[in-house]
Amino acid sequence: MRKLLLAAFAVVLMAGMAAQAGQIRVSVVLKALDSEFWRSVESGALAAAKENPDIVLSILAPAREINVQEQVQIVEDIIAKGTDVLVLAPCGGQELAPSMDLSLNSGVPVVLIDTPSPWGKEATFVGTNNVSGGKLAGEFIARKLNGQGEVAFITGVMGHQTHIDRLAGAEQELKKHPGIKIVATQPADSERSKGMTVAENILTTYPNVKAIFCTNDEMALGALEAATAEGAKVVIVGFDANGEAVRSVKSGGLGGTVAQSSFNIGKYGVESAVKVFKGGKLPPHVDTGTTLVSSENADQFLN
Amino acid sequence: MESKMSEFLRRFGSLIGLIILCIILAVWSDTFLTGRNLMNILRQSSIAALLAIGVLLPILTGGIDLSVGSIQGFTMCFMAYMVVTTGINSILGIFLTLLLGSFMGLINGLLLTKLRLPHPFISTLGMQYVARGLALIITGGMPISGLPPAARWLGSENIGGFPVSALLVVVVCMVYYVILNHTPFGRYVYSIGGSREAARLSGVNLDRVLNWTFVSAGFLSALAGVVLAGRVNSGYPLAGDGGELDGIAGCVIGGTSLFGGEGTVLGTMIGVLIMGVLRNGLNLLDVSAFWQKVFIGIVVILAVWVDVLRRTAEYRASVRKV
Repeated sequence: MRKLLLAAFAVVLMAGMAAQAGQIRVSVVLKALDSEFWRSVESGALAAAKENPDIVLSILAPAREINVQEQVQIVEDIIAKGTDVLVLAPCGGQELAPSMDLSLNSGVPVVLIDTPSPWGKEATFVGTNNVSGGKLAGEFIARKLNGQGEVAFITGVMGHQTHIDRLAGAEQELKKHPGIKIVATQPADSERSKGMTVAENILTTYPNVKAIFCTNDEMALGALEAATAEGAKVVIVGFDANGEAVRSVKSGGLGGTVAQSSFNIGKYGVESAVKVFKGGKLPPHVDTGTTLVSSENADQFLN
Repeated sequence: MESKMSEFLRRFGSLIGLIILCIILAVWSDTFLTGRNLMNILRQSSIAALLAIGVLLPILTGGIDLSVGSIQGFTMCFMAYMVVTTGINSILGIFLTLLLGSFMGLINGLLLTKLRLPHPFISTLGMQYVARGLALIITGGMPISGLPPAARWLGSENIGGFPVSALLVVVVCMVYYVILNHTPFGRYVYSIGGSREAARLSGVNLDRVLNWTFVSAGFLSALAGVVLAGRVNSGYPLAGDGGELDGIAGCVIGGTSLFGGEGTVLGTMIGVLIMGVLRNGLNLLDVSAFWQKVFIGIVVILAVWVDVLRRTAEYRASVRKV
């Protein structure tokens, strides 16, 4: 038995040394690859690897963002196979903590991208600063309303940090204008159909609402349907700048949407991994930037 | 000749499939046969294994249980809630969790045997939604994390290099092997699946046996929940989503008939391992999750096709004898 274990151990060691000298094995594990957002993160990671021939890149993801268990397996399998740095967008910041411990205990540092975790031992976090993104949305709404009027918020699943931060940013900006009143904040679980229902309720209860900030584009597009059906003139601002939302902004549907740079998340993620591998110091948060997309600049964000 | 071949396929078909799969992966990936990776496969398969044995009993009676994944999710959140939020003793928390799972299974059974819903497909489909909803309610949609070590033991520790969860599956398999093959209850389960009317006429208390098959499914779902909670150090409301389908696929790949009366614990375990090995191997080879689904689907279809071939051969052989 002991011999067997030793043999197995030796094989593991050899597998670990399989990388050639000078090469850096970077394993990127995303939440999913089923949306424009993640595809763009993927192309950012690929672009970074293309610029640096030393990088040996692998990209894996579960079939859906909610498949925590599948992602845990992927991380375990990658660690068993051997890698130098793990770049992870956790399906659950808390649920993946044991897997990140496994990685670190196996000598593989972790770079978190897109979704932060309370785990706290990552080499760095690479992602959107959601508070700044929310501020851009708040600023835009205040400008559109000339600092006067009622505003409502539609947000994701209650308690989700990303959405909390986006709301907080928008609120900070809007509070600077005494003429603006935030009349409602309701969750619509990031879904389009729920966004529509919630917006209908808001427009019925508060007929004077002049602007709605939704913490993602799906809900914003749902809210837009509701407003159009009621014939209400409301400035609706989303978050994510997905293709449909940008087209809607361009054609005068949505007022605006906040673009995160999903491409930068992938690119900076892999670049940070290389820095970590070479022993460089990184800030705790690498901001990948946000931009407000309005009818003036929507063209740049198409395609 | 044909009957010998069919007997051989029935007994060893899926096992041969598993061995061939392992050989292919061992050739392709130098990580596959490492001790660490093999332990990973056992650890990763243990949850699907518990769910598969859970659905096996209802399937053997000609029924189904579509709620095991959701019951796993709910009981897992319940456990996290009890030991983290209310702070009760871990052992007590696990005990209450298993009790809750069994109770939900009992409700599944009573819906079928007392309310006379036409097929467990319906009652357990309803329970699938109810349990998922309860999981979201008890957690407020957010994961509850930070379990004490005792609560995590089953899901995260190793004994002598082996994951505790895999050893647990071995124990569960042995218990269910004995129950199904060496107790009157086991005989009743198979006989109900073979012919419900014949079982009734021979004096089997149908309702009681059916109820117990669902209690068993609920119990094992909760056990899977406890293991997963230990593994990810939390309870999260969408846990076990689709778990029932993995469990059913494991049964079917392992030669279990969805019409009831045919299937074994060992076969089911091989079915679960085939899926586990396939997922693991494809991860090692950097194959995307999308293709993994395609491959698993093909395996399910292949397994059942081999089974159909075998049945046809058996039928021909029996006709020739007459």
